[in-house]
Amino acid sequence: MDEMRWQAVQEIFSQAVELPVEARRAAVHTWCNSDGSMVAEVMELLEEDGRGQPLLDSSVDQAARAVLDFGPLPSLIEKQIGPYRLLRLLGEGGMGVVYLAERTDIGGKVAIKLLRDAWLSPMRRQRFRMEQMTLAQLSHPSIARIFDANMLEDGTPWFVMEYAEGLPLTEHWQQKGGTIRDCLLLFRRVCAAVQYAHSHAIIHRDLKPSNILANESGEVKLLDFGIAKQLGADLNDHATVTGLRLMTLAYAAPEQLAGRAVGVYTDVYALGVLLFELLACRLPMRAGESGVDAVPEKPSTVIRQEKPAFYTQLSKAEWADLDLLTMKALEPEVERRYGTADALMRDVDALLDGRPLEARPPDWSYTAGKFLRRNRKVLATLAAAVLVVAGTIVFYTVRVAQARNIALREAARTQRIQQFTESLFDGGDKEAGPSLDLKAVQLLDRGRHEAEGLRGDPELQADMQSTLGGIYQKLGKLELAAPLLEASLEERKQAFGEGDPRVADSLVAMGSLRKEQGKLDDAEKLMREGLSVLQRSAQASQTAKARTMVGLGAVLETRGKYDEAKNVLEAASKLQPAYTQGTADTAENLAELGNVAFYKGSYDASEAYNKKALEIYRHLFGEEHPAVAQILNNLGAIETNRGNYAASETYYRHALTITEAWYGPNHPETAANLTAIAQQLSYEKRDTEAMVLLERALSIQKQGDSGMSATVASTQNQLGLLAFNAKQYDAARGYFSDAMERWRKTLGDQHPFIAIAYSNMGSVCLDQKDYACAEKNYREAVRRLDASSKDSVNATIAHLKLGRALLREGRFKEAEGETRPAYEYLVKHVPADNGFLAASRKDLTAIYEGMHSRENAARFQLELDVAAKH
Amino acid sequence: MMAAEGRDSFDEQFSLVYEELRRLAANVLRSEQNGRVTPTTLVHEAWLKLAHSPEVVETSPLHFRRIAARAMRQVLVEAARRRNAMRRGSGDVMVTFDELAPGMTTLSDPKEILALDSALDNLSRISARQARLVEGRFFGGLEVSELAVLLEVSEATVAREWRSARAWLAVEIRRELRGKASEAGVQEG
Repeated sequence: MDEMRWQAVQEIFSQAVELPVEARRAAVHTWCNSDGSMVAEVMELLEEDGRGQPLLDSSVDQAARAVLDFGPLPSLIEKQIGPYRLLRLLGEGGMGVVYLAERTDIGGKVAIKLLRDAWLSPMRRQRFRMEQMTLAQLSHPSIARIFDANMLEDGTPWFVMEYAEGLPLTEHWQQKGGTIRDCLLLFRRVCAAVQYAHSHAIIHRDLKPSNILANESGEVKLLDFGIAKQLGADLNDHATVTGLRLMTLAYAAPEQLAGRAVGVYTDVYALGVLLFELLACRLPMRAGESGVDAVPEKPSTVIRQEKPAFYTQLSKAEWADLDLLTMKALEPEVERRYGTADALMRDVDALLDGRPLEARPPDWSYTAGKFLRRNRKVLATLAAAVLVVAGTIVFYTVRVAQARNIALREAARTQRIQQFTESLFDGGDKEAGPSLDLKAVQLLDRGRHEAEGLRGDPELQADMQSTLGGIYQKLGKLELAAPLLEASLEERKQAFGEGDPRVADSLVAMGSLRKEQGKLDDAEKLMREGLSVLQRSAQASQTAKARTMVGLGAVLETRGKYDEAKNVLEAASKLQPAYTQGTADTAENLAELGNVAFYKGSYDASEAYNKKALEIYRHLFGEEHPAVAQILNNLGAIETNRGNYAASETYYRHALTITEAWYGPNHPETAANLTAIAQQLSYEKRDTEAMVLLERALSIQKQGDSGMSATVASTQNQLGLLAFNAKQYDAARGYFSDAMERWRKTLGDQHPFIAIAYSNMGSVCLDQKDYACAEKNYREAVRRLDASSKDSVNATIAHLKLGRALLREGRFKEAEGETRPAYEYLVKHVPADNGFLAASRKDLTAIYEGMHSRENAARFQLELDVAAKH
Repeated sequence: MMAAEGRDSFDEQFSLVYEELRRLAANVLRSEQNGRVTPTTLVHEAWLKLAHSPEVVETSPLHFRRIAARAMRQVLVEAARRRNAMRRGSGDVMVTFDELAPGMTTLSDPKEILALDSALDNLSRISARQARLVEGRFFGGLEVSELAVLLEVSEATVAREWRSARAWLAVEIRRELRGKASEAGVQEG
């Protein structure tokens, strides 16, 4: 049989089964155009269909038991468990079986739930225990109470609950009937029970009629907290995100179906389905389900068509309210749904009392026109951000659950979304946003389109653009951030005039973007413009000025203008509030001062600044924040340069843990951290380990956009060093020269990193005994480092290396001129066991031997021996 | 549907779920408590185990069940093959024609499961959607409403196609088993 023929046969079969048995044969004959074999095929199907027990309606359980050798299910009926005797099976699910039981000593009926196959896994047993604990916490007339719990001899745990008599909610309502008012009163009782559970931080997650029993007098009882979730509970419970049971589809909220995080709003959705079902006597269609009609059904429409008698009970306005209430509970998008069962219940009360509902029109946050209503301005801005942030937070919950971070998981709660949103607009820490998450980016894109729709309100549009631009920048989407920030700057210039502090904000934001893009000239110019606007403006705050100066300082530092940077940053720190009440701004200022000190080789000062910053960040954000990781990295770098490799590796590894948990394994920040550790390992001659980390880092970085160029160069430099250590000179030279070119392009020719690249090239030449080449490169490095940071460790090392090249050429006097001052510097500035210090002693011994200055040679040889003994 | 979510990811998830189900089934067999385990329990347990694996974490429970249905089919078919081989080896008497048709109302013999498997393969050649439908419903216990969402058709279509596929498969299975039985009869005779 082929596809076409099967379609034809099937079509005729489907029509024929609708006919009375005796009429079928004739009809089939006609429809088959007397095609004899087709008639036979259809009749065969009809005969099979007519058998009392179709073959495939048998349960797969039987099949499985047959082939897997499973025995039959044993019955526990009449079995005695403790003081309870089991009477009959009440229900069973994926995990538990519930029996009706009676107490044989004092009488009375109870429900007893046993965990099937408890031995399968500890997770299963833990889940079962969770349900007991959940029930034990709840004491409400509409929630079945727990009486007793224990274990069978074979290890099967069980617990005893109040036995609730009654029918599933919808059946009860259909049998009993009543007015719409009665219906709402019944529904309200369910809401109250759910709200009670929520107030104990418990989400039911499987609300459906069969889990809600109603008795004769209309009292309801919530059952089966088998997959209930305790908000903020133990983090190993990944069920937060996915839901343990394969939940009942019809009542599952979209976020549950999509496997996203659930919250109290998930139960609200199920309540919405229940309300719809109670009113309309059938389930609501999901948007798009009917095929044609993407608009969700309103209860009033369905009831007018299907239950006209019911329809007349309410006025048109009352129906409008009931529609609004139901649809708001059934909102597919969490942000637009009732946030809590309590909010839903309040509107049910309002409806019963004839008061106006608290629910807003469900489409308010999407309609561009409504943005323009002045009194809604703030709300509108917030709404768009909620859109962005909700996605972000969903992502967070996932990520963070994995990272076992209690504090942040809390953020999934609705009210936190609100706070989070507001903090975005308060100029709070935008870095609290996550990164490179597709969902967040998609939501952002929607936000961006909305911002475009705000042409009628340029001020608001500029705010939106600026916020979105900032978030894009944090997400590493620099090319998307740029047009938004530029547009925001232009809008603000036109709306407020060039001298307004808000224009300065935009200039600084642009400057920071340019810095990330590696356009340092532009960045410095923009920062300076921003600063001068603020200095001229009477309304500008100290905080804004300080923040701008820190931004400028960071740019100057990136350009290698360390002295200028230091001056600006020190001036900024005087504008910061007192250290005791340190803010994120203060900490950033301190960290930048620490960076400048570091590049100038003042490690003690740098360490002090960084430790202060660390204390503030930890206080503000807790341990698991990228800002903390950043400082740990700085401290690691300081220890590296001091030669304390073990200490620095500890810092770096700690930072990597935080960064990876926060940003994920494929983020540029993670790559940067990997690079740092690899550098560390290579100093310790653990080159193979280092190579692995670097290759991972480089592959992450190469996925990034142009802004990553300088970082790619750093990684190449590291790989160059490893190749050099392995005596792969051609490879090393290739890496170093690639790195140099990249740095030159992104940081400019004057940057100190170029000098490092020259120095590294020189070392390759030196190892290959091409001393002229080595000397040439080292001289270039020395010239450049003396110009940018004379008397720093880095400059000193360059001199030391130049000295070594000269030594190898046998030009001892010239070598002494380089190496001796380097030694004098190192002896004062680095620990006694520093490798470069030892090298300088070794070289000086050789130099003085070459110069036949035995006394000097002996002195440095002695120093070497003494140092070696320690 | 399968194409939309990507063949690779389906395959990856499938093999994961399959391995897990097989492992669980093997555990069940080894244990002394196998009496109370049902396929639903196994799927549920597999879900507990796999829901957080990187391959599955993005999968909705509904899609997981579809994948699990396929995996369950595979597990049962392989078990049936082994059982069948054992029977032949142990010289079990072959079932004769009269005993199985037409009164057979359940699929509880290894041969019957193997027959369903090959009939399903045949069905997938003339209607891939119906084969998926049967697989999901029989092996995965999916409801009509759930299948409608998965297959992106109305519930009425699911119900109609289920009814005709069910009849067609039953005819095929009986035919196959009759053929086998008479074949065996000839050999024995």
